[in-house]
Amino acid sequence: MRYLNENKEAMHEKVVYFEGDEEEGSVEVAMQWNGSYQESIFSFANNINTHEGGTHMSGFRSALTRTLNAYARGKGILKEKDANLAGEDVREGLTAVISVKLHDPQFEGQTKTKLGNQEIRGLVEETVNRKLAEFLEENPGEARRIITKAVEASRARMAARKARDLTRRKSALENSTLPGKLADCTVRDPQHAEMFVVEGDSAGGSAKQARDRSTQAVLPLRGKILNVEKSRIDKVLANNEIQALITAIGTGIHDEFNLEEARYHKIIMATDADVDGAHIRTLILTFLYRQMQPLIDAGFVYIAKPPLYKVKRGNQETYLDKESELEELLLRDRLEDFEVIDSEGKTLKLTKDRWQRYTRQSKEYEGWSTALQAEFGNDVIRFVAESKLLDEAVISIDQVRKVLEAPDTDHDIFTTEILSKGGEDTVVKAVHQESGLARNHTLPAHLFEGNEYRRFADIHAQLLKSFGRPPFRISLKDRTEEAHGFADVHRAVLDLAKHGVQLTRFKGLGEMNADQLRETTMDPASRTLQRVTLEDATAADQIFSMLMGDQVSPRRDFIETYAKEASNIDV
Amino acid sequence: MALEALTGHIEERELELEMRSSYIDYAMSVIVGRALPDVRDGLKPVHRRVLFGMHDLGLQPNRPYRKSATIVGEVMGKYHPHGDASIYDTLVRMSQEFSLRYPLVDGQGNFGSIDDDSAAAMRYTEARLTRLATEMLRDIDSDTVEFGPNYDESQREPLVLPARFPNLLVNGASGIAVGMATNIPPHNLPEVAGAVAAYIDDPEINLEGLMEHVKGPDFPGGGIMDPSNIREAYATGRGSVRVRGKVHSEPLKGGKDALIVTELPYTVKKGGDAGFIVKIATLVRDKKLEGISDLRDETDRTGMRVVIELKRGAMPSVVLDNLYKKTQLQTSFGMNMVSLVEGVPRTLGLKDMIKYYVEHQREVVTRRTQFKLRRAEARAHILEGLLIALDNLDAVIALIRGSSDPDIAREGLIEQFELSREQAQAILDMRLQRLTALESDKIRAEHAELMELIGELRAILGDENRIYAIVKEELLEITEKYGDERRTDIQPFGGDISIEDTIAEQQMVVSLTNSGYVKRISPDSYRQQHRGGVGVTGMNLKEGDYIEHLRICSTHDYLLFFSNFGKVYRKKVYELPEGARTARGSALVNLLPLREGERIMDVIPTRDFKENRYLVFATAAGQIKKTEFIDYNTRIEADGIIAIKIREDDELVGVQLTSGEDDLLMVSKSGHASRFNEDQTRPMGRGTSGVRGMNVSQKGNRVLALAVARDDAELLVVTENGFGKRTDISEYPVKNRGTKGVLTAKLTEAKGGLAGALIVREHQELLFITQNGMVQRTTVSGIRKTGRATQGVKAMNVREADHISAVALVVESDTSTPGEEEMEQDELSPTEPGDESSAEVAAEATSEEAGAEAGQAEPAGESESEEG
Repeated sequence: MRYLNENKEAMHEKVVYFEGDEEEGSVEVAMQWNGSYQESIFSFANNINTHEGGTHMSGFRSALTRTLNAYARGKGILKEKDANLAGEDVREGLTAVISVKLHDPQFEGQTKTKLGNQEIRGLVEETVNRKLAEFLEENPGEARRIITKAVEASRARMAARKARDLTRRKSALENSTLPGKLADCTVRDPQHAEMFVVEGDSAGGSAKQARDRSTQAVLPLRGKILNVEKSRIDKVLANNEIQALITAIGTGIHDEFNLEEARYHKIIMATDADVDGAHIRTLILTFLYRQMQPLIDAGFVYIAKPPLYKVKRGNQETYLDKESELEELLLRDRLEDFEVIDSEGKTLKLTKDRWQRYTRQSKEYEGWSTALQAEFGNDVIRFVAESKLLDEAVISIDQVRKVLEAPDTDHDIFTTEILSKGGEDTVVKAVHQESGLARNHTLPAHLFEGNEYRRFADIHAQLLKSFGRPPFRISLKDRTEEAHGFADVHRAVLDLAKHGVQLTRFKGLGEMNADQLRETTMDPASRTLQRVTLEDATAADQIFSMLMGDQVSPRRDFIETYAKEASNIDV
Repeated sequence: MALEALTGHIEERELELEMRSSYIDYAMSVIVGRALPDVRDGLKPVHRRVLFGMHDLGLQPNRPYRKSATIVGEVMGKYHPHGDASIYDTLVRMSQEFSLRYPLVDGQGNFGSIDDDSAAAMRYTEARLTRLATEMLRDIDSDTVEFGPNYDESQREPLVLPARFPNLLVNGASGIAVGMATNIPPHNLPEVAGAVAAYIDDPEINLEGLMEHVKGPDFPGGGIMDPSNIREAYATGRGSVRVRGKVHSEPLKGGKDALIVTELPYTVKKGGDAGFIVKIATLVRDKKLEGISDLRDETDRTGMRVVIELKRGAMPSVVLDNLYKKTQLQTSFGMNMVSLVEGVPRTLGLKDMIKYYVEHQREVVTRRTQFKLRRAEARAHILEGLLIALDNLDAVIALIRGSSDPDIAREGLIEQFELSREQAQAILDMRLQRLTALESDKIRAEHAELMELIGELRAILGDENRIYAIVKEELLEITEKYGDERRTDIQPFGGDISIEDTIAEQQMVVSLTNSGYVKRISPDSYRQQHRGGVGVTGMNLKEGDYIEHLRICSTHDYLLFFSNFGKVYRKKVYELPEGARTARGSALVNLLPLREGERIMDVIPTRDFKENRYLVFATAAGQIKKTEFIDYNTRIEADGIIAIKIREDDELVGVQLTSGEDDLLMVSKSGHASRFNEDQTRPMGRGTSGVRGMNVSQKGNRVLALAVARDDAELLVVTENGFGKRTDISEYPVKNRGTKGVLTAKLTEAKGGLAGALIVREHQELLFITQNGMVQRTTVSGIRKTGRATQGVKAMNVREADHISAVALVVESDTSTPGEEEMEQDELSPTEPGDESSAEVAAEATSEEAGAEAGQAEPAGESESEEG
């Protein structure tokens, strides 16, 4: 036995050896598993090599399988729900020699090397069952190794079978009929055909009415589709929406993808303009990227841009895609009509330059303010901003104290009284003159010594210079709005501008009429599409596994880092 | 060009950018505007909108109910542009007593149940706000909170509610966002209010101080909670708390017991497909839960009552422990206190949550005060104008009469009397009846009041502390009105029931075979047998195997396994596999970490290491060592501990328990026996190697056996070639240790060396076992009793190439006489060194005896088989 297994890596030290002796005859068995995947079982009857096997062989085989399964189950290595180990699993890597001696051997088969005696079968089976079980029981270490190997073989076999099933299923999809929900177009040539993928039947209805029947198909997808990054391929293929998508596109998926078979050269994702629409878009992109990447490479995947707003001024209707366009539209040509009066009575009119400067400066102001607020607290920063401190461009705690200790005048917004000034912090009681509201603020020294504060003070000074001192009264024609801070000016101006303007915000495609939808989103003459391009495959791969995969922490980190960039947080 | 026209305007969009941008929009939206509550009012946007919508519709507690569909439609149309199902579900949940510790919606109709029933459709049910909910909305009309535009800019909605009580802590929250989630348990209102007040009094208060008020979460369904981890959760914002339902036991008619469940842990459903009751039923059906005979839900309007009837004989504490382990009767609440602080999700501890809440309240009260002040001042201003008019009535009238139109009159008033526009207008608007004395007094009085109010309001605003005092006062008022008793008890759970508690204490017979198969078998399995006992017969042993050791002990006893390497391992009897009479047992190597070539020489059961004073060890090379038995009562490591230090080429041969006064007997292969009193060797430590006990230095010689000498027994020896003899032990003289010993058999070449030595008694039976597996059974009486130094007679025919390898006693049934329960069984093992152990073995004999002896500790009812 050792000789036989010489060149192979033995799985266990001891050769399993036993013998049995009954009336029918005697049997001797030697076995050893090795690391290979072959089975080499030699059988002899009365020292004659029975190449073709026979009853002793089959007895050995069935006993071997039965005994190993029983042991594995008894010891809990195979759980209830696990399948039994098959014969081939158990014999993988097995080298064995079976030798029986009997009185009256019957040899059958072509070359007369197959043992036919029925009674031998029982003998061998029984002996193997008993003795092998003993060996396993008494050598748990070896037993475990043998069982493990068999279990691995079993798993590999099942995985291979699943893979074959999958291939069969994939090809089945290719040949199935088009999904019922697809409202197809009439033109046959894929070059001219396009498919709009929309969210839900409500959007589907609008899209079907709005399309050009000859070249435009519509496929509504129900709800949020499966996240393919988190699911195994068999679950993906079993999903209805995915199946509909695959069949409609026609190219097959994964290894069987064939670009020539594409039924449309434009697959256009037209989800709703809200955040759930954005999410569905990411889910569809995940599927397309993972299963139909060549489609993206070929530039066949697009994103539709349905409008976000409809602005109606008088008789004029305009559709807008972005928040920023709204501002642009509302203020265009009207800036000059605004009048701004600051707290000191200074008046100025808004010009394009001024407004742009204001917007830029105000953004910077807000940026520093937020940063400082995050570190030192809202109340403190607000106080500093509204009081004289920011004006005086103080840069050290001593200067601060000097300013605060200076006698208060009626013009001051706050009357200030220093309550304590030891060490690092200065505590000041500030009373808002007009409302009488009193607050105690703790001013840390390093607030004023930092760079952020300096920049903050700078930009504050700039704003004062270019705009004036808040609060402001802003009027447009006969309407007035109050703006109590620099940032508020933006809101006030827009609020004034919005007056008299009818603003509709679209949440879903279903909200639009068919002709609105056609004009803004579907008609090639007037629509805007974004073609999805793939620059860096590695980066793309990482993005998908981070955002859509099952690891939560990288996703959380990503969210925390980029939270500020979220532009469209509507609720 | 033509293509352009066909395809329209095309931009490029990088896939990576699109994924990031779309995903972050979605994620942030879910985090900030869907799944997480605001730390200030404890509400997610959908809750806030439902409450505000109901407020808008005027659904105060004292007004009639309105149809839920109206509420849902209103909220959906004005504030929440999403599915109606989620809005209605929110409404329903806020009304459920078992979901919200302090419900905010007062529902009329079927609003669902703890049995997982859904609420009736929204066209059937009606709702309005609860009294407590109005506190969430109180002062909302006094400019206390920021408003923002709704989704289509047609309405204004509040960005946060005034929340005059700390809703986040009190009602809790749970939600799954993207990349994060939240799970905040509900609490008791008076406790939280107490903590808030304490914080206001001392903002530097530490967690312990706060926890004097907030003992822990308080769930609507009650239950019991284990206090460990609560503190950590409050400190860091995360922690897992174990919660149990309330169970008590009741005796039922017919001698059976029942466990009655009256409270379930938070969020556990009682009925329904996934409910608690169905879960128990499934486990009982799958035999994963034992001891339950019936399961009934007797809940009615007086309260929850789930009856779990136990089978006769089942131990309530054991069944209960299993229920805790396998069903939702015990769950753990994973606290993860994430909420939005200024739009940013943060995990907060108790103190921070209170801090932000108090800040919010300060803001609310401040703004309310400012609002009142503005209003008062505005009114006072008007009144001042009127007063001026009253004081200068004639001039005013003259002016008015002299003006051609109202505008001119107004201008005139403004100029002449230095009035403001509002004042002038108010004067013009004044009804003539105001000129009466009564009315003008009223104006003066009102003005005076207002001035006082204004003064008061200014004073409040002028002193931060007063604001905080108002916050505290108003919160305590609310607590007074709506506070209630704690429902969840806080009690440590104590240790889990140990395995041993679940195993009945009963007598067991442990058998260990020569080739190392061990099992335990309950004595009543013997009762069935008449003949055969626990001998070789009847047992499904390997060829050539036989029982070498047999011990009677209790399931809770320890078994000490001594190996030839000098190590000892320890197992509880219940850890051994239980088997039927005919079972072979399990190979010891599966239970003990035996090394290659290591065999167990002897097994000694002990309860508390007090059965006898000393352990005596004998090695093949003749060493003898004595150690106090109690020294072995240490926690035996997984790898066993050293029982005796054995030299490289030596082996442990025998172990005996001695009293301190016994005579020891060592028998060697050369046919000698040495008897000496044990006081010849003094007690030593566990890890020592002992002293010379017997001189076996002669080539090929070794110690075969160790025994405790009893003068009323005999020493039987047998040679390799099958010659045996027995001699009274009293014939062996007591000498010193270390000698070669006296002859116990006269050996010759033909007879071979000694193969076995046993202490025997007349009535016993023997087995002779040969190397090749031949077994012969014979009686002791059949072996000639002769003097010490005699030759012995042929006891067994041994074949040419074979020789005797072992002698063992047969423990049989009907040969033992009643009353005699103790037998000394000393066996020997073959070519591998033998040991001589004497242990008490009670043989079962006739059924009565078995009944008397072994039957004592038998438990009534089913015994559960343990898997070792």
